[in-house]
Amino acid sequence: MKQVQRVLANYSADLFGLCSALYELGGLIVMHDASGCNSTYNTHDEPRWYDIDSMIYVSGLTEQDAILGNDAKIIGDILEAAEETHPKFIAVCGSPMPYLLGTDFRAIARILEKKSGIPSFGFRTDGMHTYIRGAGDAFAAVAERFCRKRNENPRTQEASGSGTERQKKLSVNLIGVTPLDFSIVGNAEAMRSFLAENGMSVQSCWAMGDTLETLSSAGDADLSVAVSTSGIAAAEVLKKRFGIPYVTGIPAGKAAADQLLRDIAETLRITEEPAETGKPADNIPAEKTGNAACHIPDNRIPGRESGTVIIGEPVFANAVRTCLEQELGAEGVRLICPTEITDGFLRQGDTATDEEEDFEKLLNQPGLTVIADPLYRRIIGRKDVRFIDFPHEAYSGRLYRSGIPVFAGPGFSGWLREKFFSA
Amino acid sequence: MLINLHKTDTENADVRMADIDTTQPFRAGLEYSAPARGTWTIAHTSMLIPHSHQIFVCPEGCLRGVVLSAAEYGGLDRFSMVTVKEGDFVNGKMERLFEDGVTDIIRSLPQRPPAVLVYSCCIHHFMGIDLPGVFRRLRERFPDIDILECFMLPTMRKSKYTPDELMRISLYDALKQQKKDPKSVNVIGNDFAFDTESELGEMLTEAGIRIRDICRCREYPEYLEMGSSAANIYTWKAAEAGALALEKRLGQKEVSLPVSFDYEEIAGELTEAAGIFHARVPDVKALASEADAALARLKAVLCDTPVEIDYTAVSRPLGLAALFISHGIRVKAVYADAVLPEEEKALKYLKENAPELPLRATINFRCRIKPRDEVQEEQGKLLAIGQKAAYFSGTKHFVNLIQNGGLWGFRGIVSLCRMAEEAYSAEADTKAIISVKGWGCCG
Repeated sequence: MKQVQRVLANYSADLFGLCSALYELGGLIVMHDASGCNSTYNTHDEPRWYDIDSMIYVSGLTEQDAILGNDAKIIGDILEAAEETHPKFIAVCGSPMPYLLGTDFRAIARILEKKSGIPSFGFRTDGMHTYIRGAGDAFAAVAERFCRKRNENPRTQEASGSGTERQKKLSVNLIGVTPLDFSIVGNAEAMRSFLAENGMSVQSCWAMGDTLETLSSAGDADLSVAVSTSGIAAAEVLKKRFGIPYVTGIPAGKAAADQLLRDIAETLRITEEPAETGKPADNIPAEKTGNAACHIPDNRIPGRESGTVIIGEPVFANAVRTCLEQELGAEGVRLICPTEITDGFLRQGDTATDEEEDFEKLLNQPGLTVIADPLYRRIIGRKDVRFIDFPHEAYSGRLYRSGIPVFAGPGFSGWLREKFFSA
Repeated sequence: MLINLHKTDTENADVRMADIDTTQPFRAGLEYSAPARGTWTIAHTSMLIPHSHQIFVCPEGCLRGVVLSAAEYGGLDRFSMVTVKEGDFVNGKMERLFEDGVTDIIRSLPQRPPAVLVYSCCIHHFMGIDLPGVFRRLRERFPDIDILECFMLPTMRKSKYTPDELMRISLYDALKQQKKDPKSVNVIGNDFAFDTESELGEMLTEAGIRIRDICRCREYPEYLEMGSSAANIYTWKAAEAGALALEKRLGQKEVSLPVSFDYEEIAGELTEAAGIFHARVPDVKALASEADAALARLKAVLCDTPVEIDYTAVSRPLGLAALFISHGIRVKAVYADAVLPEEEKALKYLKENAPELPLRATINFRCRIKPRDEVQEEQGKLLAIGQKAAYFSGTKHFVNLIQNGGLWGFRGIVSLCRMAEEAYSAEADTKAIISVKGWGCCG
C-alpha cells in the first residue's frame, strides 16, 4: 500500500534541510513546532550541533496558541531572542501543525523585519517534504536577499598576492553542500581541493565552512556548481540576477570529475565570448576537460546481469553511475531517486519513488547489485541480491556515519572499485 | 563563531533559589534542545511491552525522530509507519489512510505480534478525525491482537496530560480484568526496573509479595499477568494518571511512593506501604545511618569539589540538592525548567540554607549561547549528576543516571553516593555517552 513503510525509514524533512542549509550563517532560525522537531533535527540530522553553536530553536507551540491563532506569541518570543542575540537574519519555518492552521510565515517574517530591522524570512515548510525542498528554499532565499555583485567584471581582477599579472582563476560557487548529503567526513573540503587542483577558486560554499558574508559575494563568481539538487534553486537565482551560469555534478570519482570539468568548460564556452586569453574555459588544463578518455576495463561480473541500482539523491547518484559505467564498465546501472527534484536527472529505466512497495519490487531482482544506505538492506528478501553499503546521512542520520567515504574527488574511484568487485 | 556572545544576557536563564516564587520560574519562549539524549522517548518506552510492534501514523518530519530512534537501538523489526502527506489533509480520507495503513502493515508482518501500539499525532486530533471508530474497527479486524491507542501529541504537552503521562496510560492498556492476587503488586511507570534490593523491595518480598515490573517482563504473558496484581505502586509522578486509569478499569489500588531524598518522607512512605501490604516496617534508623555514612564518605572523597544536578537524572533535583547541602556537600547549581509542587519542602530548605544557589533553565533560548566551560573554573573537577548537568558544565565526571535509574529510598541514596564516588574518580567520554538516545533501552 502507498504511504506505508513496514521496514524502511524516511528521509530528513524539509524544515531540517532548511536548518541544515542555514546552520553556519549566523541567523536565528525558528521551527514553529510544539516540541520534538528540534531534538529530532539536532540528534539525527545535524552532526554539528554538539560542537558548533547555532541558534536553532522551536517555538514551543501549544494547543491553546494553536487554537486561538496566537501568532503574537511566536513573534514576541523571536523578537526577544533577536534583541539579545543580534542575529544576522531571522528565519521562521513551519511543521505539520502550522500547515494545518494555515500560518502565514511570510507575514510573520514581514512583521519581524519591521519590528527588529533584521532581515527576516518566512518559509512554508510543513514537515511533509524532503530536506531537499527545505534546503533549496533556504539557499534560494539567501541568494535573493544577500548576494550582490561587487565587481562588474570579476574575471579581470588580478589574483592577489604577487602584484604581477597572473593567470586568472575561475571562481566557483559550490551550492547545495550540507551534512545531510555530504556528512562531516571531509567531502566539503575535498570538493574545495578538487577545484583548487584544477585551477579554480571557491568563491563561496553553500553552506559549510563559509560565512554569510562570503556567500554574499557569490555574485562575483564565474560559475556555480550545484552539487546537490538542493543547490539548484539558488543557482537559478544567481543566474537570473547576475548571469552566472551553473552546472550540476559532484566530482565523485575520476569519470564524474572529468565530466564535471567538461561541463564547466562547455557551459562557460556557451556563456562567454572566448576572445581573450585567460578566458575561463581555457584555464582548465586539457587533461581535465575530457581529452583524457577513461579506460573502460572489461571486467563485467558474471551472474550480475540484472545490473546495478543506486538509491540516492539524483546528483550524487548520477555521479556514482558515471563512475560505475565509465570507469568500472558496469552496465544496466539504474537510479532510484526518493528525494524531490528529479527532472533532468533520470534516464530511461530510472525511477523516482519513495514508496516502500516500489522498492520491494525494484530491488528484489535476481543477481542485482544495490548501492544504497544500509537501512535499505531491510527491504531485500533475496539472497542473490548483492548490497553495497553507502550510508546517506539524510536517510540513516548518524547511524552509519563512520561508513561514509570521502566520495568527492577522483580518489573515490578506488573506493568504489574495491566495493564493486569485492566478493 | 556564529553568535555575538558579547551582547547576550544569559542571566535570565538562571534564578536564585531565594527568588523562586513560582513553579514556572522561566518565561516560556523559544526552546533549545541540548544534545544530552539519554532520556527515553515514546519510541523507547513502547518497547517495554514484550514482542509488541509499534506503528506511527504521522507526517515525515514527525516520523523521522522515532524511526531513527528505533533504528539506533536495533528496534526496526518492531517498528513501522504510515506517512501522512499534504493531500491527506483535504481529501477526506485521513481515517481510511490510518485504518488501511495499519491493517496493511499488520497483515504483512512476518510474525503476528501479541500487541500493536498505534500512534496518532497532533493533526489527527486537531482535524477531529474519528479515532474511536478507527480503533474500534481495527480491534474488530484483529481480535487476536491487543491494539493499543497511543499518542504522539507534543502540541498538547501542556494540556490535560503530558506525553509521559499519556504513554504511561497506554502502556498498560492491554492488561485485562482478572482475579486479583493480594500477594502480587506492580511497580509501574518506570523506564528502568525498580530496584528490588531497595528497602521497599525487600520489605515487600519479605511479606511474600511478588513485585511485577514491565521492565523485567520478557514474554507477553508475563506482561499480561500484571493485570492480576492487587495494586500499582508508582514512584514517578508521570505514572499517576496511568495508575488512576488502572484503578478505575481493573480495580488495582494506586499507591504513590515517590522517589524522595527526604528521610522523613522515605520513612513515611515505608510506613504507609507496610500498612497497605501488611508488611513489617524495616529499621529506618539503621537505613538512615547507612545513607548518612555514604554521604559522609562522598563528602570526604569530593572534598570541596562542586556538584551540579539535573532533572533528567532524578525526578527531584531540588530534593537531592537539599540532601547534599545538609550533609556538607557543595552544590553549585541545579538544572530544571520548572519546580515541581512536590519539591516545595526542598525549595524551602534551599531558600533558607542556600539562597544563592542557582536554578538553571535547560530549554531557554539563552542556554544555547551560555559558555559551557564551568568546569574550567573548578580546575577540571566538577561532579555532575545527570547528562544535562554534565553537558552544561563541561565536566568529564558525571553520574550517568536517567529518571532515577530504578533507585529508591535510603538504599537508593547509598547507591547514588557510590555512583558519584566512581564518577568522581574516573573520567568519562561525556560527548559519546550523552549523545546516545534512550540510554539503556534494549541493553
